[in-house]
Amino acid sequence: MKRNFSFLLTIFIALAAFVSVSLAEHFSQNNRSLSLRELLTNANTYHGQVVTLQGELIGDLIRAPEGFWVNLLEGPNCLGLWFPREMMPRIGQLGRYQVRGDIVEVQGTFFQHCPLHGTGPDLHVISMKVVLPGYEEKEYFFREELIAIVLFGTIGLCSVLLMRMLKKKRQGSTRRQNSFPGGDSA
Amino acid sequence: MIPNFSREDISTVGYYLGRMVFLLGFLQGLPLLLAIVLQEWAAVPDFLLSVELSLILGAILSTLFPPVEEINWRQGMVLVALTWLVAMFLSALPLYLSGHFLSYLDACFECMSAYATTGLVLVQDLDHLSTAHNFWRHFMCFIGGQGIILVAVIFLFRGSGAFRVYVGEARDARILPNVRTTAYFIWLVSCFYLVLGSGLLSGCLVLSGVNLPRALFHGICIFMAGWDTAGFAPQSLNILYYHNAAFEMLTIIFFLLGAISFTVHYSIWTGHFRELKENYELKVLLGSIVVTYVLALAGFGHSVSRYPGLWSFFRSTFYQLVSGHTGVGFSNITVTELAGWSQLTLMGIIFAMGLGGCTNSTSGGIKALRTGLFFKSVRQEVRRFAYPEGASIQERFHHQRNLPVDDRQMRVALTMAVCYLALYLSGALLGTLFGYDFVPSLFESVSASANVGLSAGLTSSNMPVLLKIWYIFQMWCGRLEFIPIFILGRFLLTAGRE
Repeated sequence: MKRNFSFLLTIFIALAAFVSVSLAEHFSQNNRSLSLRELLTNANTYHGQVVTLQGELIGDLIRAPEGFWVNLLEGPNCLGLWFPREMMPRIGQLGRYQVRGDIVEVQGTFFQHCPLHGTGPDLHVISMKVVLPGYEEKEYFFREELIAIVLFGTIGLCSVLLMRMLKKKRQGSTRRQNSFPGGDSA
Repeated sequence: MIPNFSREDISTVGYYLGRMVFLLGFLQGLPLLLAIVLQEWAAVPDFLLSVELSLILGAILSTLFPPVEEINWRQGMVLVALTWLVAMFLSALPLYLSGHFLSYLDACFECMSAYATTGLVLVQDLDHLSTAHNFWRHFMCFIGGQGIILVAVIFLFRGSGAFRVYVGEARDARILPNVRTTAYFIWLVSCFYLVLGSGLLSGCLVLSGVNLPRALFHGICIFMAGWDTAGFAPQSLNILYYHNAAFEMLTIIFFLLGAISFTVHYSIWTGHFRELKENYELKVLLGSIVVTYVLALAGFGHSVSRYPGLWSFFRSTFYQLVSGHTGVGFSNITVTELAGWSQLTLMGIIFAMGLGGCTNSTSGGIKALRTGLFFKSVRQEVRRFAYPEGASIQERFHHQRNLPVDDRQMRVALTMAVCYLALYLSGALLGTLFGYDFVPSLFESVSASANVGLSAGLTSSNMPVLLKIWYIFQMWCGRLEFIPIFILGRFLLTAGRE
């Protein structure tokens, strides 16, 4: 009896472990962020579904009558994020030249053709969290480029001077030819 | 057969090319200045180096080739074709040095696309590109749209030489008796609309909460790309970035204005508004937009139901069609969505792109006047058989004044149409050889040759090098309308062989 009980307990524990692992995997898959490329390529499939995306916020915060627009960049792909007025996004940095925008994870409803805005694909944001705050990048210069500038600058100056010299010489010889009685000025 | 080119021809072309290169160097001074003003110090060396190289090359050419008085027709054509190539190579340097291009060829592709007002892009990570580099991309559209030579006509050429190079840049009508005054007029109109258009577009963005300097930058860039039917945008999402219907409508107005002939602009400018109603080319353009839109719509079938409403459907489809027809290439949908449209819809857009805008405008393609002349000619032939023998049949059309349809016009129109069709097909076949489907290949080829810029997804930095080179060739040929390229070919083969 005791042996049967321990056998049943072992089976029960094994089953419970299996179910919990499966559930955990299932939920983690649901929360895993989708790539923008996958979303846009299969836009028809994901239309109207709640999806999670990760990417960099770029450009400008654009105001609209009922909310705000910000664009999300992931690799070469980009998508408009729509925030209703009541959930004004708290953005640290928006990506542009010398600025890396906030890397965020957004959850929202994806529309291939938005019924509210009547245009191309967008994501109506439900929640957003900053994964990595944006930062300003340092400008950097290539030493070789700076050397080339000095070098070509010098060559440029010399060639312009040479050009002027040759031009004067040419004008001088033409004038001499014209003033010489036998010159073929005609 | 075109006669051989002599050493004298080389000397004349070399001398004027040197002056053109000088001019290009000075033009690059503008983004350099912008980089300094905006303190984008990393962008300064890129432009400085490019300006220096242009000035050196200009100085070398001017030193090697002595000054000449006048340029003839053949030399003018060679000069125009060469100038566009040299401009592409020189202007690509700052873009390449920005680090946003995978190769120098990609930067050259971008420059030819800008100068020829095509709008196909190979730039990487556009959203982090400096303002100065981004401005340079759009400024090239503005220069190329009116014509690189048209800048030079004001500063460098005198007398009949000006007209010879003016014609080389695919313009055949002198709006005013003098070419220099015509050039002044074209720049005056363009600058007037630049101020008006940039103001309105920037105002629209300021109302959307974008700060004034950014709004001004976007307004100016979008105007330059729209008016010159280039289709570049400062952000990778193109027009979709702005999420603003009013902004989209404004762009439609400006690219339609860019696609109509400067002769019509002159009529409007001088108060002859009747020209808008009577101009035959405008009627053909509008008719052609309607016909190709109907064809594109036929391809949607049941997939219309995917759109939430008629407005949404119209906004997405009509914008692409008009954008394609006028040769601008702005897009308010994603490339993946456009590539997913049915083949019939894509064919509708291909027809629209291939037919193009008006002659003497900033748009490319076969052009509405030539299409119209073809139909007039067919009608004339049908009437010739339908009417009694000996009846005088003469079709006429209104283009500033009432003109008869003559054989010379027809010959030019048909020659150009055949050349364009061959160019369209060549790119499509090459694309197919590289393993792409025929319809997307044809779409991309027509987009490049007619200087449109819409993409069905083929154009990317990963595409084969040969295809990139061919698209550059197509953009160049399409913009200059073949003749200067043919003459340049002859020049390269025979120059110096007396």
